[in-house]
Amino acid sequence: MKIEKLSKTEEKSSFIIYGITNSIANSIRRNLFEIQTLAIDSVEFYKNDSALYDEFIAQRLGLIPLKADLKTLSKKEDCSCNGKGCLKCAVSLKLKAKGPCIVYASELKGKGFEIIHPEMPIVLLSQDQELEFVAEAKLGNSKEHAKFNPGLIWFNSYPKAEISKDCNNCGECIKICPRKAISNQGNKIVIDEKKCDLCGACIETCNKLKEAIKITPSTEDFVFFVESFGQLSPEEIFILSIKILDEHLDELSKELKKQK
Amino acid sequence: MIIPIRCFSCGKPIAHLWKKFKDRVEKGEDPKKVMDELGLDRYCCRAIFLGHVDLIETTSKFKKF
Repeated sequence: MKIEKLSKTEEKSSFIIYGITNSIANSIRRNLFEIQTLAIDSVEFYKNDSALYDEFIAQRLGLIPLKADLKTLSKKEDCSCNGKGCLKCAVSLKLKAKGPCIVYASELKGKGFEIIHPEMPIVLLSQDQELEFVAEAKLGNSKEHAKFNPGLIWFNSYPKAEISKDCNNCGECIKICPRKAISNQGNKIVIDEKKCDLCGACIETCNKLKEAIKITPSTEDFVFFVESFGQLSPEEIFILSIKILDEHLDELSKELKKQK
Repeated sequence: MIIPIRCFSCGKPIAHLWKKFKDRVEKGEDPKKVMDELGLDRYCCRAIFLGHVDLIETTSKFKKF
């Protein structure tokens, strides 16, 4: 197994993993839905004079991405308070605003969390309109609700390109490639596999003439893309996903041993 | 009505980008260029920005309370 980094920014990273199987790659991707993040789960309105209904604002509040210290906070269902909501498993927030103004996410007050995008508008209040509520945020995973989603993971097979001796350098494939992955280097057609996205346009044009290009998706090498929504870094998302998969497999093997 | 907090399809948080987008497009920049620079790569997020109309200011005038 070998990893090669392609690109990396604060919210997006991509890399190639050589020598794994499709099923492992897919189970890493699917375990993204088990990662815990913090989000507002219940809202109690004291006053809402705005043009939006209580439910509408509550839904918007839930979707605001929040950052929390995952080490100190525990899941509400597993907490020692039996799901009532205590300091260890829930975060309380409140907001009070009077118009005319736009209410931003930065106006949410509370302890134990961080608002990732403070400039998110929640609602607009016109003259004399008021908004006041208390809310409670909890940990959850995106199997429960999409608002807990920490990001996205997707992957595709690494393309393996072959050009046979039949190639006569006609250059038709260079013209058709939408990714500009094919070039002519010293009278030889060369395909840059890292740019190729397996669209097959070059194979189609070549088949009319010579049938010289062969591009097949690899079954062992995969290009991964990890995108973060701000709560965790792309690397953390990928590592947590593997960790959770590992924990699930451990649990399964323990249960299997018990059966014997 | 008001810009959605997250993209309907992919879930990427987008509400904080709306003001930047609106200001720049009103100044006369090409929406394509602005969206590329704001990091809106997928067409689901881009569609929300291109099709969005801020109606909440108008609606709040008719609110009875």
